[in-house]
Amino acid sequence: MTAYWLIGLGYGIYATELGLSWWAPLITAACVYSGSAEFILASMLLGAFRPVDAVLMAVLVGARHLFYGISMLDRFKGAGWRKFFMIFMLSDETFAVTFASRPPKGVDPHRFQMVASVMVWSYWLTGATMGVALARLLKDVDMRGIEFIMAAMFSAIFAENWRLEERHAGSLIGVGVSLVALLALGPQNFMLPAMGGILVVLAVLRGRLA
Amino acid sequence: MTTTQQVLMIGLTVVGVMFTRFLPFLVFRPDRPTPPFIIYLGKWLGPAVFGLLVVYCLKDAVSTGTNLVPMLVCMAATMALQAWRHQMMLSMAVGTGLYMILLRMLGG
Repeated sequence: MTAYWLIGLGYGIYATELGLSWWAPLITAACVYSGSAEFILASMLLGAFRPVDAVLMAVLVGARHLFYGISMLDRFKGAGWRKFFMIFMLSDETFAVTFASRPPKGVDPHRFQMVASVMVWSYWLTGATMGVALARLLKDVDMRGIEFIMAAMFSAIFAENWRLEERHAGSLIGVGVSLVALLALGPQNFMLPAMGGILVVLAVLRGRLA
Repeated sequence: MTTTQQVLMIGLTVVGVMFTRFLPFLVFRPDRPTPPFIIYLGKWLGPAVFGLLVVYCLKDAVSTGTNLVPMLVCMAATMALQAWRHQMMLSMAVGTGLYMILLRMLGG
């Protein structure tokens, strides 16, 4: 959880150093509440207004949430008013913290899930808030290069996926298709074709990978 | 981008992410099997998306050449450190620190 808080801190610093107003990282941390999507969104906010890119990026980057949801279908059943918030707050970290744990004896499992979710969410939001505050306090310090934190995060996750996977087809398709799209179409226009291309290649290779 | 446009971009990203969080609860039932294509995508899409995100970080460096070498060096260093020590925070801190140092050494 300390590591998670620190990534939130990094996000707050990153977004502020990019030049975004203080409210943007705080609102995104609270409402998007998905680190990868927030980092990409922050960098997109500096560019041209591309609403379709934003929503499709969010769906694709968030696609893994589908499987958290599927794993939690049974457990969230009958949670009543809490269910909306439990689903809203089902981030990577919440899933990691709650999926394998069971509530202590006598504690209502939905209440347990809700409290854990709010705690994880608060960690993220306070981390991001502290990051924004810190970056503003240190605004006279030369922080050039701190924006590499996004590349560092995705590189580390990519390497971690690579280490854990039996076959590297997914990682290789992702890098390969995106590089081809970037070189062919340039930095402004490659995202959508790259996303589409990844889905097409995966669909075509289904017989060989499934 | 105007503030209104920024707010719209943020709102749409919230919609996109929440679509992925809420969809399973709207379309799947715990007592019915998940469609095989969804399970297939679940296995392969995750790593592919992070491949895309790695390339996304390089998009401006690749097209302009600015800081391309330090970026590639530091991304490789981050990945190597992660493969070796499996400590996400350590990999990110060393990678970012190294990048900040390289930028200054190269006079950028």
